[in-house]
Amino acid sequence: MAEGIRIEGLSKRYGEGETAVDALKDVNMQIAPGEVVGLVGPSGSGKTTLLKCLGAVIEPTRGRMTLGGEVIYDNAWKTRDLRALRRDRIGFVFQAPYLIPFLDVTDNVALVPMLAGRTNKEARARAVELLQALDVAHRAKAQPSELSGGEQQRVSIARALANRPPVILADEPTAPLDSERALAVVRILNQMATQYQTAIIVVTHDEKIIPTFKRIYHIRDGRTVEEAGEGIELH
Amino acid sequence: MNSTSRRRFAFILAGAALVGIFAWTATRSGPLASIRVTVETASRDQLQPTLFGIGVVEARRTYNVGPTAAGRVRRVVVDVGDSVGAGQLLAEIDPVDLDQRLASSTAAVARARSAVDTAAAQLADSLSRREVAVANARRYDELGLKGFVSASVTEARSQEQKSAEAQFAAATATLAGSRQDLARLEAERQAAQQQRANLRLLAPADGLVAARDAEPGSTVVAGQAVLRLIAPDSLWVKARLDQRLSTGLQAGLPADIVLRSQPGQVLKGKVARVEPISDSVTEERIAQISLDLPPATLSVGEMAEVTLHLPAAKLELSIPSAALRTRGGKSGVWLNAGDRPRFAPVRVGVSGANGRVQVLTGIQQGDSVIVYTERDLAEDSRIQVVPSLVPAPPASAT
Amino acid sequence: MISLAGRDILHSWGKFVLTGLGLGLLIGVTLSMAGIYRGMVDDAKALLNNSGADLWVVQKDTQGPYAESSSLRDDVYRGLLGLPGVAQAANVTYLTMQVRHGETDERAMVVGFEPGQPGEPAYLVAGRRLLRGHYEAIADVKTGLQVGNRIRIRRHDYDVVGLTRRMVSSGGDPMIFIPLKDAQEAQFLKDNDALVSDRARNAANPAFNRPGVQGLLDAINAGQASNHNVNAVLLRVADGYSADAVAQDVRRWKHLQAFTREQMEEILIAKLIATSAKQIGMFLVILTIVSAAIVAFIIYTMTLGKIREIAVLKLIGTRNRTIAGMILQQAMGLGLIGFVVGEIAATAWAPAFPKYVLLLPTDAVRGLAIVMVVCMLASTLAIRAALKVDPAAAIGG
Repeated sequence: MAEGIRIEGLSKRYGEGETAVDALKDVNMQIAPGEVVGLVGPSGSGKTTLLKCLGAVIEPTRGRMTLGGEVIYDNAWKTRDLRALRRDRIGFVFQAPYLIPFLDVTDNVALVPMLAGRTNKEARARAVELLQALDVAHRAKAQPSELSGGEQQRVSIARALANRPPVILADEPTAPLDSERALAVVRILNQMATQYQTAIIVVTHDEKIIPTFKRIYHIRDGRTVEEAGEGIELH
Repeated sequence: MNSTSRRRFAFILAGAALVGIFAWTATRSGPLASIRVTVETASRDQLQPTLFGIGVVEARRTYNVGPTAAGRVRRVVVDVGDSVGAGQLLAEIDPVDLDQRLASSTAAVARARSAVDTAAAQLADSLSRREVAVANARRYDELGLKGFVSASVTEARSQEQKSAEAQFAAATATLAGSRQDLARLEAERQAAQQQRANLRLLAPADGLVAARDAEPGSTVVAGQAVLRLIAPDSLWVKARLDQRLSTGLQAGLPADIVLRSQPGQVLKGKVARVEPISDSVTEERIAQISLDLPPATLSVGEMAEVTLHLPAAKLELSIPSAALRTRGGKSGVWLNAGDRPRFAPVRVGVSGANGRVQVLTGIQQGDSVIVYTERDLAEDSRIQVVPSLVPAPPASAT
Repeated sequence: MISLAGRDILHSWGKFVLTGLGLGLLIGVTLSMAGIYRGMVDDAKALLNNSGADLWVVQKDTQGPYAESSSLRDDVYRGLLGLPGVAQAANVTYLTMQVRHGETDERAMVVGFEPGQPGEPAYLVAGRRLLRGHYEAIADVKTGLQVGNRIRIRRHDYDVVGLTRRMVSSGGDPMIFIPLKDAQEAQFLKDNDALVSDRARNAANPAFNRPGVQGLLDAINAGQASNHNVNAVLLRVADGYSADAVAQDVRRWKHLQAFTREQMEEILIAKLIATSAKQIGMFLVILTIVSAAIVAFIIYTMTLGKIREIAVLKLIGTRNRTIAGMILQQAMGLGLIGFVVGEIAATAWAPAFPKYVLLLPTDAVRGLAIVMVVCMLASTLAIRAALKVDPAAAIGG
């Protein structure tokens, strides 16, 4: 498809010769804009490696990655400025919110568009818009340390969306949360995906939220297998 | 205002305060700061010019009494502190053999006198013989002429006459000689007597014995003083004044004298004499200052400080002497005129006792003169007038 | 773009201010040391400037009168006045000695001078100039004396009639100015016991104590007790003549040495102050290294505490040079705070030092530049650590 993210035959080998390890073996994935898919697998299965490849922080060994219609990797990086790629086309949501402690909430979110070259005013306006959408606008001027865990997580989601990237990679976003909050996060992700037409990959092994995905990629020993999920609706 | 903005505001405020303090310290102290000065207005003042010198108390006249020949002191009759009158016996030198020599001289004179008597008698004797010889010679001459006696007898008598004449002459000379001898020995005797008299040391004038330099038994040479006398009411202060600071020195100036032994008391006196010969080595002029009422305990050699009062100058333009500066060899003052100080060369006259100095040329009455400065001034110095540069001393300063 | 460094400083301002204070005190000590050196040089220059002289004439083959002792006859100045180009020639004596005031002794340099001639204090801050030829003194305020105090120098008591400022010897001792003749006596005349024993010795010597020669013994005693020496003659050169030419003239007199102002400065600064200067220089280097180490350590520690944030920043697309710039700006901000605190501290405690501390604006500017450079270099350690951070570290798991 034209938008979203498509991965074909992605492989990653660490090391050489006899000690070589194939972390990823011929992975194929495809996510449409607005879709939220789960990437599920045990530790050591290669899901972190896959995330790193998708996040353009490590270089795959082989394969092809297309992002928002643009081929970014075809057996070699097609773009030289990976950092700009990450800044503009990929959003990250982590296990912990990882907000910059010395910036207030608005600036944490606005930082990303500022890095992309927007004026401070535009960036902050975008930030406020996203914070409102995530229902944390009332904490716009607060310091990250003053927020609750859930609020921080929502701010980090806003940050991930700030540059309107075509894809968001979420790495165990619900791991430390209880089921109520975990489902709230998933609900938000779905909301944002639909609202901003972003493809979201959620790496998780949290049993609480796996049922919510409509599609799930299982990964084991570097290979992925697609399967349909339960797709339980959230309100 | 939330915490970030408040913090930012506080930070900016603190930063501004720090920079302000920084700038303040840079201008208050260090080379950028303005120089603090005090000023005074030049005004007409009655100056009390004074001259100052230090001196030593001396006696106008000192007499060194001693023998005119070497000898040994036999006795000293007076002691230090005694008052003596003119002609009073002070000491005596041992005559040694002088008495015996005097006796010998006297005896020699007596003997010479006897020799004169002898010579006179011999003269009388030879005179009578001569008379006889002359008479005989005449008689025999006549007889010879008449042929009554032989020519040899006549010659013999004539010879006798000549001999008697010669004897008479000799006796005359001998008498003269012994008279001269007598005179000579008389003179020698008088000399010995004079010398004997000289061994009695007498006071040449009324005075006070100031020093006793030789004791009985000590040997003294000619000219060495045995005693020193001073006239007690002739003590004056021999004051030395620096040649440069002695303008106006003349006899008759009133003087204040402070003795070292009585530092609190000021004695009055006046300049009795200015010595015509100054000390070229120490570059001082010498003035003799007499005391109106010399204290009884005054001693020769005492140090004294002398302040002479010159006649007060009429109201003259004066400034504090502290305002004088030297710039490029010229003497002058800094005037506080407008923004920057201005150097005005001046010529100064007399200095007064209160530290003010007369200004002859260079400034006008009413000019604001810079007196005390923290640092040397230049034409482009920034100055700041303050009332005083040093804190006022506490009331109990020594 | 917001300033990351500024936000970080604002956020942990306590840490920055405290570190800045500590660093500032260290920088203050460094600036004070430089000020002490400048003060010593200024003392030496003040000594030379305040004398008002262009040439110093001293005993041949000496470096006097400040660096070495030098003794001249006091009538030498008359011959010097006759040289072409000499406008003024004045005798001066210098002697560092204890001066008694009340119950206490002060160490001071007693200067014998002649009023109106080179060697007299150039300006007063209180009182008046010397009026009498004897027993008056002008003292530097560093002695603690006031106008009206009485001080004792050797045999005589002196009235302090004037005060002056910044008249110190090259060793930092305050100066007390008294008339030349009194100073000669103070320096060259022995004490009473020595005089009495000298007189006894002369009286026992048959060559001196000849009874036949009246006054010989007195003359010899007076000759031995006289004090006709001075330490130097200060010359002022007339307009239009060069000091070097006049100095050459003076040196042709085989028993005199003459120094121009530049040569005196070199003697004082290069020779007298050289050792102290080297010591101070070493201190400055050590303090600078210590300051650099402290800044490096602080910034490195701060950076290490931000590794996670740096990884996140890199991941979300922050340039390496933006992160490096943030660290650099923090280091320089710390340096700036430290410098301002140090400059204020140095200025505040400078008057408390026993010696003169001179803080020059040029030194402050130079100090600021050095602090900035040092901070820049010190931050390289942290910057290297920050650049090595792998953005993938943010993706844990």
